[in-house]
Formats: sequence, structure tokens, C-alpha cells
Amino acid sequence: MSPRAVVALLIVLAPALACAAAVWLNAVDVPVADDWARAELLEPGSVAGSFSMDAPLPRWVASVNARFFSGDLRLEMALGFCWVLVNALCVYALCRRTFRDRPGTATAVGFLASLLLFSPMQWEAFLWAARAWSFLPFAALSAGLVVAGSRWSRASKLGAGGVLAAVVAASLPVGAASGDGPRAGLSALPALLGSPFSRTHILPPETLAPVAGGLLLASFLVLALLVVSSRSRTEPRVRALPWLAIGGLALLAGAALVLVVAPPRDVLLPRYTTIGLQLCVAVLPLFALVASDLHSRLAASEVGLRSVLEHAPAFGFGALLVVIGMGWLVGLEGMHGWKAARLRARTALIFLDRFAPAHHTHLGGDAGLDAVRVAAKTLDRHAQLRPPMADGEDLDPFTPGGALAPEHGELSSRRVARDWVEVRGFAWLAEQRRPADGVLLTVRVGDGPRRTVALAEVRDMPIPHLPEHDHIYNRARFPQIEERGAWAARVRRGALPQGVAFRIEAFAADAELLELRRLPGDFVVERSEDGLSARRENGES
Amino acid sequence: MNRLARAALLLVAFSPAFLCGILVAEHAVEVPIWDDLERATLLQKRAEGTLDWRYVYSPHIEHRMTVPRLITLASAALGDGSLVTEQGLIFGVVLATAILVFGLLRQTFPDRPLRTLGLAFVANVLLFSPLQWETFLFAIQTSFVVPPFGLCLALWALNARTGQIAKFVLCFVAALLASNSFSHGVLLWALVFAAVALQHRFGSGRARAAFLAAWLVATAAVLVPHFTVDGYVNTSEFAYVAQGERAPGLQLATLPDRAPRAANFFGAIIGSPLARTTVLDPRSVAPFAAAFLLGLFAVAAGRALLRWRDPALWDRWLPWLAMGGYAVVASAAPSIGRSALLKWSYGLVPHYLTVTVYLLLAVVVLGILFCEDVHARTRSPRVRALLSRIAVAGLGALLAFQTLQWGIGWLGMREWKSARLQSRTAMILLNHFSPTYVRRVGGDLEESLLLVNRLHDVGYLVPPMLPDLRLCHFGVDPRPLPESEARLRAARLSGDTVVVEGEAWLAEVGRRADGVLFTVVGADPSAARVVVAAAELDGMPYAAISPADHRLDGVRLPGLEEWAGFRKKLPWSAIAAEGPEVRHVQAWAVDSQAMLVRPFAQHLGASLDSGRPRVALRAGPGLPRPETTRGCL
Repeated sequence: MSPRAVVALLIVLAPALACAAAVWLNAVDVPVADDWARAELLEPGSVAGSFSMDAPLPRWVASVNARFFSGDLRLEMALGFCWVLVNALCVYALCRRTFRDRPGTATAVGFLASLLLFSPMQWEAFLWAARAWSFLPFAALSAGLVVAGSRWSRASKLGAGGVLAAVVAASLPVGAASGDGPRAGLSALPALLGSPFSRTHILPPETLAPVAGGLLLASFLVLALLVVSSRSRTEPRVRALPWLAIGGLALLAGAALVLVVAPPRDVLLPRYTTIGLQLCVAVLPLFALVASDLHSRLAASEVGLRSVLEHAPAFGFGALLVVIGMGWLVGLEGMHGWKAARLRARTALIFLDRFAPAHHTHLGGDAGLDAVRVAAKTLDRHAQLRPPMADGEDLDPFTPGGALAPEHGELSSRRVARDWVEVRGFAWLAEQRRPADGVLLTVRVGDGPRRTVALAEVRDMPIPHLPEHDHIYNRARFPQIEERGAWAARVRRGALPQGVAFRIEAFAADAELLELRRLPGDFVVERSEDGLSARRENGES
Repeated sequence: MNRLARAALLLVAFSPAFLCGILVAEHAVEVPIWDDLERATLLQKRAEGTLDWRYVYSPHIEHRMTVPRLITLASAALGDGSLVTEQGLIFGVVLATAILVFGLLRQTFPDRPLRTLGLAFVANVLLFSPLQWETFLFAIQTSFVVPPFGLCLALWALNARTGQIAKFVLCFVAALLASNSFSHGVLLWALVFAAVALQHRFGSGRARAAFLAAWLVATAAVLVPHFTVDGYVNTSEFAYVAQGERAPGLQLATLPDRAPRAANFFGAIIGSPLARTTVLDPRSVAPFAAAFLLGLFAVAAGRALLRWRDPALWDRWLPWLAMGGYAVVASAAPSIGRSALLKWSYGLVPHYLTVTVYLLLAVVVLGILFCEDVHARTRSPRVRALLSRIAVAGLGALLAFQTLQWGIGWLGMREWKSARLQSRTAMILLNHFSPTYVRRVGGDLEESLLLVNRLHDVGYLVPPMLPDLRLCHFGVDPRPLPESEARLRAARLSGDTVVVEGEAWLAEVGRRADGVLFTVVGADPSAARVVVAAAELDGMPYAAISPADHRLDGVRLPGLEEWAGFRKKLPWSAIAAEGPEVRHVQAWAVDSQAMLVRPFAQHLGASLDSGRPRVALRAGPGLPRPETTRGCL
């Protein structure tokens, strides 16, 4: 490869490096929703019907992972990333083939395509082992297109195509009908296609997505029409063929999704953004091809139009770069939120046998808590849940860390009634930019061991990052960490020790480091014949 | 290009003005706050016949705001003195500025009509960005928009094909208006001098010398009184310095101690036009954005200096260098002054954008001029093509970014309007209830009481302050608001008060309620309803958060409680329940734009049970249905 080609390849792969770093930093080995279906592989019948993993290939890979790698979900996420890498490399190869006489355009389009393909906007697909397979069909298609245009023999091409088709077929899930009918399904198609571009603005994604998707769809159809109807020359048509195929597959996948798998209300889920991004990848080279073709066909006297056509791709490149860049920022924030949710789930899973969480969508999605409990115990029995579920009342597997600064968390209010103690506060892990992954309440008699009596959930609240200074005359409200990291728990008398006096303490959990940070505000409760009461300490009641 | 096409493109170029005009018309409201209240003294003096030129010319902190005061007086004399008129005038001044910028672009690119129109579109996207809502919707900001208008007028005049006297007169008018509107307008005197001195094709050496000499005399004639009359100390009642004190910005002795804060303040102002996204904290972005903009400007200025000997080229660059330089110095001035009082992040407040947007505009035009220059001087077709692509891609990126900025600006305008209408509810009740959030009205309660009453007394508070607490001053719409829009969420006793929490959204007008009023139905249900307390709402700026993004996160999504929540302590004495019979406390959502109230579907029952107060939320009717009314008899 020439140095120039190496530089071009590095430019194209720069988004891959950035995305890999983001995935590496945010991937956590915590199962969620359909990930629990792997319990069925370990003990058939344990969670039948609650979670789905129908496709043979993902089942086989999960089995291999369970057998040889202790079922570390991050390996399957890495595999998903590899499909995107293959896709991006093949797309770049196709770009070089399409624009073989314009290496600069090939690099620019390849770079934009790479930015789209690795967009963290697909955070659910990158960080959810069960969804990592959604990248495979597109990778297989672009690999197939590269093979089809190669100098291999016809037999080799057919063989490779067959293998790729088999792999794709083995990775496809068997979906259930959405039940909303074809008309409702198809009307949701533009929203599905526009989903990855709808979060880069302040307007609601529900409003923007159909508009963005409609524009994208119309662009693809118009460009395809222009290319196909270009009778005078066959060259643009030949060059456009791979992109028509990629766009066609995206449309087919989108249509299949809205008709068979996802009800219209679900089309904006981040796990489906891959389809819209893939369509955009197809539109980019088509646009460059059509602009260049029209430009070459215009008479020299059409100076204005020629100038517009000459500059349109560069203008679009700049505009798209900003839109995709914003998408990356939103996606990175999405990855951060996903990781925080998984770590909250990890804390809940550790203590699932003792404390039932009031909210559990971050554990099992739409499935009930009982199904999650069964699946978690199954994985735990097979040493596939890390860290394992707690079996005692001590603080294991957490280790004590330093105290949390009062401005980052505290046990701020307590109500001691005859039969219960209620405590509230907030806990924020400032360095990790997220609320605590849970707050453990412990009781301790004298200098005896600490015993966990409750796990308080910290739910966080996603807020837009709007500048507070924009609203200083408005006295607008901006939820601060006290609100975002708020927690509350009530402990019944029966769960408390029999001693005369005991201390109640609260610990903020960091489920990534498995560390507990003590919150200021602990207090002593006395038990008497009349019930429970808080002891006065240092003059305060 | 034929005339029709040019006219069509001209319309497209000015389409941002049209869009912004619609947004301003939609969100402008007649509610004076903060510095707007200063007009109360002006109008009172006018009403009493004690107004003199000395007062009109007197400094407001360090600003001689003669022009804005004359505008207010003219509006009062010729019309109804409405704040909305002045907001319209602000838009008009920005439109006039945009026309002058278009003229400047035509002077810079005389043979390139398409380029001129394209850049005019970009300029208008920036100049009319609703991100400047604190300028467009805050009547006092006539003071802020006149100096940039003066700047553009002077720059246009200096490059126009007019005689020296006409140039002098236009520049003099521009500088006089600017320096008597806001303190950064003073810069124009120096800027015009420098521009004339540096312009190659100004005229003969004698003409230039005559102009400069006359300009120095004019400058002295205007600025000597500017900095000396009244000792250049604050005379305004509504200011963060006392009357007779010097503005802290002028106390330069403390500058070395606060230099880092002043530098950060400067970075915040300069970086502000590029600092807002929905994901990143603008305080983190602003310094980088500032470095980026200043870096580009410095490169352009450096390139221009290198090409100083080329008269045609230099004279095309000069106005834009002057515009950018003006924005930089005008941003440095408040950084030095306000850093004595405020945190550096205050530099991000939207009204400063009205100055810094001219730096961004200057950088865009200088960027094009830079590319043009390199394009003309290079022989490599590859470099030429690359340059033109970079310039066009940059414009594409800027415009794509501006769509987000316009969205944030539109949101800002909505929030501003909502907050102002809440201010209105608080203001008309100001003599009866102390507002919870007094800083929505003014700096402190005492000052706000004084000036709002003064404005009311001279008849320029619309609607006027309520003489008593009868609910009938509002129109009553008897249809209860559905619980999905207005709800009393909780009520509990706390000492001798009842703490009521809830939320109220006016779906029909698409904003949170402009306040919540409480009335008590006593023993005589037919008696006139009297307001016993008023709650202000405390909402998060509304920005869409997609539930789909958090389906598996188990988080608490912001709801009505966050967008439109309130919390009010009702004194038990106001409810006046004296026995077991229940007193009903009715809550009303206020629409202060229409001066209407609508009842909540729930109400609060309060009673004394064996001497102990009890409260409970009650659903459904239970209360006599109010009748539709409009005004008190």
C-alpha cells in the first residue's frame, strides 16, 4: 500500500478506534432482558417463554462462550463490534472501487460511512450482547458485494456467497407479528429510518424522526431513480449497484422490522438505529455519483448550476459531519446511561434473593421479576453471574472505600416510627458522573459486624444538558445531584436487630469497582417497649 | 442571473428574518422586568413634568442610555408606551443592521451576486438567531442593538461611493447613537478613526487629514462630556451599584487580582455562539470555541496584514477586520467589568451573543476572503479545489449547527415567555403577596415593589396591579382542568401552614400555568371568591427526552412535576377552619396572557378535628361550579 493509501485507511478507521474506546469503557458484564435466555441453554426449561434467543448462531455462540469463557457477555459485544469493523472495511473497499478515479472522494465518503457505521447512537446494539447480531446481515452483504466485484472465480464467489447467506440466515431471529397491521407498520418506516438523526436536535425525536426518515427515504429513491434512468451511460449504474443493494437491504430490513417484529411505538428504540444509518451509508456515494454525473452532462454555459453541483457534495459533507458529530455526542451519553443502568442492575442482582427491587425494567425488560430471579439463580449456579449473588447478610462482595463527601451524598432525613424506620438521602459518584449504583443500609450493634437490612434504589433522571445561564431571569429548575441521586428506604421492625441500640448506616455502592462509600448522617436507633426511637446525638434529635 | 431569480434569492437570503419575526411576534409579552423597571422613574418624571435632559443623559451604571430613554419617551408620547412596541423596534433595528450587512457584502464581493446572497443568508441566520432571545424579547435591549447597527452603518458609509461630508455625517450619527445607547458603542469613535486612517482608497491625503482632524474634534466634543458629566457615576435606582457610585468595571485597580476570572469571562462571551449543544456543558465547550474563533480571526488578520500593500484587497478585508475587532474589544470590556461582580460563566448569558455574533460573522466572511486570496495566488489546482471545498464544507457545517442553535433559541423564547407571564402574575399581586422567586421580577423585593408601583402609578403597567384580592379580576373559565394537566399531588401540615404540592399545565396554550391561585369556600358559598395565596411554578426548561432511549434503564423520566411543578405553604390562618365543618380550598391555574383562571379538578379539604388541623385532597366536584365571568362588578 502506498503511504497515501495508508493515511486514507487510517482516516477511515479513526471512528472505529473512537468507538472501540467507547465500547471498551462502557461495556459491562451484566445480563439484561433477552440476555437471560442463556439460562435456558444451561438448564433447559428454566426460563422457557420468558426470554427469547431463537436464532441458531447466537445460541451456539452463547453456548461456546458459556463453556469456554464463563459466559462473559463482553466477548459477544466484542464480536458485534467486529461485524461493524468488517462492514466498515468492506464499505471502504466498495468506496474505493466506486470512486477509483477520485481517491479523495473515496476517503471522504468512506470516512463519513465509517462515522455512521460506528455511531455510538447504536448503543443498545453495541452494549447488549443479545443485540450484537443485528450488525451481522449488513456486514455479510457488504462482504458479499466485495467478493462479487473481486477477481475470484465464479465458483469461489458462489461458495463465499452461500456461506455468507447461511451465516446470515442462522443469525436471524424468528419474530412475532406486531399485530398493528401492515398499514400502521409501514407508516412507521420513515420514523425508523430517521431515528438515528432525530436525537441531534432539541425538538422531540417523535416529531423529527419521520421527517428525517422521509427525507432519507426520498433521497434514496430519487437517487436510485436518477441512476437507473441514466440511459446514456452504463458506468454510473454499474458503480451504483453495490449501494443500491446496501440501501435496498436496509429498506427490506426496515420493512421487515416494522411489519413483523416491532410495533410502531418501538421504532425509535436505539437498538434499531442501525437500519437508518445503513441507508444513509448507501445514500452518500449515490449522491456523489449523481452530482458528478449531472455535472459532467451539463453544458459549459450553465455556470451557476455547475457550480452548485460542484459544491453540493462538500456542503453536504460539512453539514452531515455536524449532524453525525452531534449523534456521536448523544450516543456517547447514551452509552454512559446504559452502563449506569447496568451497574444499578448489577447491585440489584447481587441482593436479588433478599431485596426485591420496586422497579425492574433495567433487569428484565418487559419480563417479570420472578423470571429474572430464576434466570439469575441459574446463571449463578453455573458461575456465569459476576459477581455472584450474595448469600449472607454481610456486605460481600463489596469492599469498604472512603467516605463520600457531604456535597456528593448523605443520609439526609430519617423518620423513626413505632414499627419502622424510614431514611432518605442522595448519593452521587462524582468521578464516575453517575448516581450511586444503589445504597445499602446496614445495622450494627456496638462494634459488631454490619448487617445489610435494605437496598435503596437510585433511579436517576435523564435531563437535557441545557445551559443554566440561559435561564437566569426565568428562575428555571435544573435537577441537581440531590434529585438525580435521590434514594429512600423503609425498614420494618422485624428486620432490625434485637439489641437495645443499634446504628443505621448508609453506603453508596459502586458496582463497577465493587466498592462501598459511606454516607454521612448515620444515626442510632433505640428499641424499647414502646417501639423504636432515634437517639439524640450531639444535641440533635 | 435575471431579476426574478435575484429577487427570489434575495427573499431566501432574508428568510431567517421572516422566521425570526414570527417567533418574536409569538413570544413578545408586555411584562417589564429588571432593567425595564428603570423606565418607571423616567415616565414618572415625564408625568410630573420634572424630566430634564440631564436625567435623560445621566449614566445608568456606566452606560449613557440616552437613545433607549428617548425611544421609551417617544413610544409613550406617540403611542401607548408599550414594551412590545420596543421589542418590535429591536427587531426593526436588527433588520436595518442586516440590510447594512448585505450592503457591506455587496461592497466586498461586487462581482459575485450569488456569493453575496449566499453569505447574506448565512449572516441573517446568525443575526436573527433566536438564541438572542434576551435581546429580541427584552425591551431594554434597544440599548444593545443600536451599537452594532451604528457599527455597520459606519462601515458601510466608509465604503460607500459618497462624498467625504456625507461619510462624516453618517459616521458621526452612527457613533453618536451607539455611544449614547450602551458603553461599548464608545468604541465606534476609535474604530472610525482607525478605519479612515487605514483605508487605502479613502481619498486624497488632504481629505483624509481633514476628516481625521474633524473626527478628533467631534470625538472630544462627545466623549469629554460622556466621561465627565455627573462625575460619570451611577444615577439609576435600578442598578447593582448604588446611586453616586462608580461602576466596578471602572475600578481597574482590582483587575490584576481577578485577571484569570476576567479571562475566563472573556472566553465565555466569545465562545458562547458555538457553545450550546444538548449534551455537553457549555462551560466546558466555550473556552475551546473561543480559542477556535479567536484563532481563525487572528489567522485572517495576520494574512490581511501581510497583504496590506494590496489596496484593493486590503480595503475589502478592512470592514470585516473592524467588525471582528469591535466584537472582540466589546466582549473584553464587560469581561473586565463584570468579572468584578459575577462568576465567569455569566459570560454565557444569551444577550452577550448580540455582540459576539459579529465576530462569528466576520470570521465567516474573512474565511471566504482568505480562501479567495489563496485561491488567486496558488497555481496548484488541487490546492484550489481543496480550499473551495473546505470553505463550502465549513459553511455547511455552520448552517447545520445553526439549525440546532435555532431550536435551542426557540426553546429559550418559550421559556422566557412563560417566565415573564409568571412574573406578570407575581407583579399584579405584588402588593398582596411576596413572590417566591422575586428575581424573576427584579433584583430584590424592596426595589421591585417601589418600581412596579411607580410604573403602575403612571399607568404603564399593563395589566395594572390588582387593587384587592377578589378572583373576579381574572376572567373565570369554569371548566376544570383535567387531572392529567393540573393536579394537587400532596398536602401536609407543617407547623401552622399547609404545604401543597402539585403541577399545572395549560395544554391549550402549550405552556405551564402562569401561577396558581388559592381561594377558600367558606360558610357562604355565594360570597365572592377571594385569593388567599398565590404559588409560582418552578419548571425545568422543556426539552424532549425520548422514553425509547431509556426503556431498559429503569430511570425516572421527567414529567409534569418537573416541567410545571409548584410548592406552596398556605398559612392555616388564611384557610380559617375553625371546627369540624370542612373548608374547601380551591386551586386555580392562571393564564396571565389572557387574564383567565381555570379551576383544578381536585380541591383541598381542611378542618379542625378536636382542635387538631386536618387536611385531605379531594377529587371531583364537592364545590359549587363557578360561573363564567369576566371582571368584577
